Amino acid sequence: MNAVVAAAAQSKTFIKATEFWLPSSDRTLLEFGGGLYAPGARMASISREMCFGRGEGLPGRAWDSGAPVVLHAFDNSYFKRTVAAHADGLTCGIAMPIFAGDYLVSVVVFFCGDDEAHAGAIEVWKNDPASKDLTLDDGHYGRTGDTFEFISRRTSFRAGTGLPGLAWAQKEPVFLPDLGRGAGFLRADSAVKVGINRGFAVPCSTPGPQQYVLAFLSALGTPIARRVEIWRPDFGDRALTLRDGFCEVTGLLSDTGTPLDPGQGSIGRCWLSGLPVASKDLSREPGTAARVHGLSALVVLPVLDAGRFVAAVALYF
Amino acid sequence: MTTDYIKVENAEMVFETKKGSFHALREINLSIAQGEFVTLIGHSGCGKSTLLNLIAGLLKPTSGVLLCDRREINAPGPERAVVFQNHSLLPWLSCAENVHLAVERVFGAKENAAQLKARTQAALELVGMGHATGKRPHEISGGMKQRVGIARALAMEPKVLLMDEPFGALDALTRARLQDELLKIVARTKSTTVMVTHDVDEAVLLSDRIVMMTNGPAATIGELLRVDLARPRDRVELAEDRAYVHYRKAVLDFLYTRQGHVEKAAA
Amino acid sequence: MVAAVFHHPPAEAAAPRTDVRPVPAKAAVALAVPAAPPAPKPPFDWRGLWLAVLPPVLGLALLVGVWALLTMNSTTFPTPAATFDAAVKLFADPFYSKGPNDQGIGWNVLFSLQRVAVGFGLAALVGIPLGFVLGRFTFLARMINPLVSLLRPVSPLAWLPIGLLVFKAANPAAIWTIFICSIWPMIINTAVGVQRVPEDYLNVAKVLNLSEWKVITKILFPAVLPYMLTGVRLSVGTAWLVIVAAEMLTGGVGIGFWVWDEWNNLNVKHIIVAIFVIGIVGLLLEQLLVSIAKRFSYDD
Repeated sequence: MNAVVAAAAQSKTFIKATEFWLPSSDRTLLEFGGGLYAPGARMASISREMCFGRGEGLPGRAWDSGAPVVLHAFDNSYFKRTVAAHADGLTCGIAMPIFAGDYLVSVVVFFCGDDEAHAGAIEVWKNDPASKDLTLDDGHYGRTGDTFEFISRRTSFRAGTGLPGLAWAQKEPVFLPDLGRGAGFLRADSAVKVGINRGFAVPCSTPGPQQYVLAFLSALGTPIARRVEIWRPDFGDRALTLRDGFCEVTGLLSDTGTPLDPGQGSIGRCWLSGLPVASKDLSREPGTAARVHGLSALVVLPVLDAGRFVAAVALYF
Repeated sequence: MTTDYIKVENAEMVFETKKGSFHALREINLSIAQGEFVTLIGHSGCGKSTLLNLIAGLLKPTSGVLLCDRREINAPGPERAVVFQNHSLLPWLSCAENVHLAVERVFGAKENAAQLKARTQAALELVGMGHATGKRPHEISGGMKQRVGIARALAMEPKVLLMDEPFGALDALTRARLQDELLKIVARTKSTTVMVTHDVDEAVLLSDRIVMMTNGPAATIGELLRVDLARPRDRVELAEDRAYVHYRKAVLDFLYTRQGHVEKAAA
Repeated sequence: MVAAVFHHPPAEAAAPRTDVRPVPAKAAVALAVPAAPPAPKPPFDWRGLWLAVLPPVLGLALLVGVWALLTMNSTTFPTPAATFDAAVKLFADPFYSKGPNDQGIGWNVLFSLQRVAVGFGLAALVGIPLGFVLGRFTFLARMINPLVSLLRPVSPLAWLPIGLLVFKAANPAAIWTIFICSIWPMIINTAVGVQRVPEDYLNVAKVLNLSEWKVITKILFPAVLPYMLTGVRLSVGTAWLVIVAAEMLTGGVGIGFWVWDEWNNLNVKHIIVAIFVIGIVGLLLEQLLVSIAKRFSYDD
């Protein structure tokens, strides 16, 4: 492994764990569908055995409210796995429900940990149909200083402007490699120069008139994920092609790689089933990601619009 | 405090010129609360002056509706007073006569000459021009002319004060002074104000909300930023205020970097 | 103003002078640059005065000198000296009246000016409002502009026969000619002035919701005044020119008629005097209007 790859392998990601939950066959409970956790994580072992009713726990909440949920502190809350989460160093959870119309397809949960070196943000933006503004509903911000959160809470976007505004207008995931928000000092005394530099936004398909967009913002020191890929079906819906993406090791991704057939690899399976897919074995994946050193796991999220599959977002860790 | 004191609903503006039609504004939706100070900012050609003229009633939108105090705006009038970029004082009238023209128009029917004169004098004193009432515009400086322009607008006791880059033609020091005075005046009169500017610092210093417009043609509103700085605002103190710096940077980001990204992404 | 001509007889200019008094020399010299006296701040700017006055005086002296040289041995063309004598005689009694066709030079000039005034006044009364209307309403402008363009280049003297035909008398015909030649600049300049009123002033009027009358009196009229006065100035020069020619053709009274009459009498000296008089009066008219224009201008 060369130095760059090694360094990339060492750096942590803002998202520390991802899991997804699927409705049971009788549609009364949410059952564990899969997830990626740090090796030896407690959450991994206990989550497999758990299930949530509607409104219960973080995934249940997202299901019940029909909207993304940000939980900033697990203590004394409705969170059911506080002890395990703390043991794994997780302090914040963001649950994103995926609906096809009124029908819940899955709830995806991202976990972050407030380590001092972690910078970045996951934001939930929402639009009330009465207004034309997309405003911040809630967000989890790492140690980027107050700048980001301060401004985000006071900003509204119009359709087509800004990262969340673009995803909202286009109703598909948007990736911006350079947000141009410039560099800001994370902590002056440690003199580590970090700043929000990249991001992608995913529109949430939820029932109800309100619309939600999840924005994932990467900072220099702590990317959201090691590699992000956005795949979309081609014109005839025959194959899935890679459209956008960024890899911390190789850089900006362009229209490369062979398209995927339905069911081919984890991403192809996500397309076929319309469900999230998680995998810890990249050797079985087609495509270039498998060959990039330092990547070990992958989760694929479907993006739906009015029940129709629009894109797949693949996050590699 | 009505939040929809000024309401712009889906306004579009297309100009028919000899060279064809020019789509200046697209899908403008904006609500301004009573007593709010809103700034329209953006690059040249982004239609911010066009939007201001629409609110003033000097232009009619190609489609869409503009409302002020729940009444449709279909003509200009003294209740939406305008301060133009180049003062527009009538050069053959003195400062007092310029202001008096406005005062007489609005209050002439109900008040006598002495009362009108008192209003004129009060308006000029409000902007610090009480001493130069008899002077002609060519006898006073640019900053003073702009003050008289503001006095004329305020003397009408308008529902809304509209300012089209009022300080754009002035040097930096004069601009700073007039901004400070405007802050005080607006605090006193509590008027609803919509101002067009190019100047980021001016926008952050004066506004309650900054409306950032995308690049033209077919420009629309891109982002809105709520400026939560406590009033009264002092420019010297704010220069070091972290929040002020963040706001400033956010607007600069929009103007100088984000616009570029949106275009790249759309391409 | 007319009196000024006679207080400072032009004859003084016929003889070269080295020691000049500022005012008469300036009033008399047809070539003079209209320099105002220097500002009355001590010390008095003699040098400036010299520089302003000396060149025109020298110019005139040169003219007279050349004239004298050329006519030294001529039998037909009078010398400067002879002309000067004739002038003195003329201005000794400028206001005599021995009958309708034999009047003093003073009366003749006044008659001419009177005709100019009337014709001019009528042109202003018709032309300026028309110019306003044309400037304000484009449809009317499109209607009338071709007519104006068509009739404008026509020599005023070509209108004279029509005047004689219609009015059957010399005086009204001459006035008509003045009217028709001075009206064009007034219409055009006023119309242009109305169109050139800055959009900003009209926006102010709109925001203030001023009545049409107020717009006209408080905004349009003062804004158009400089253009109007330019139109008037242009017209005056032409009018004075035309009246002399018209009078030559129609006869009666007036300086133009007098010139023609003196030509019939082969009194060339008088013709030359008349040339000077006409020039000076024209100059004075122009100066008057320039000073009026200055009074109404506002440096912006």
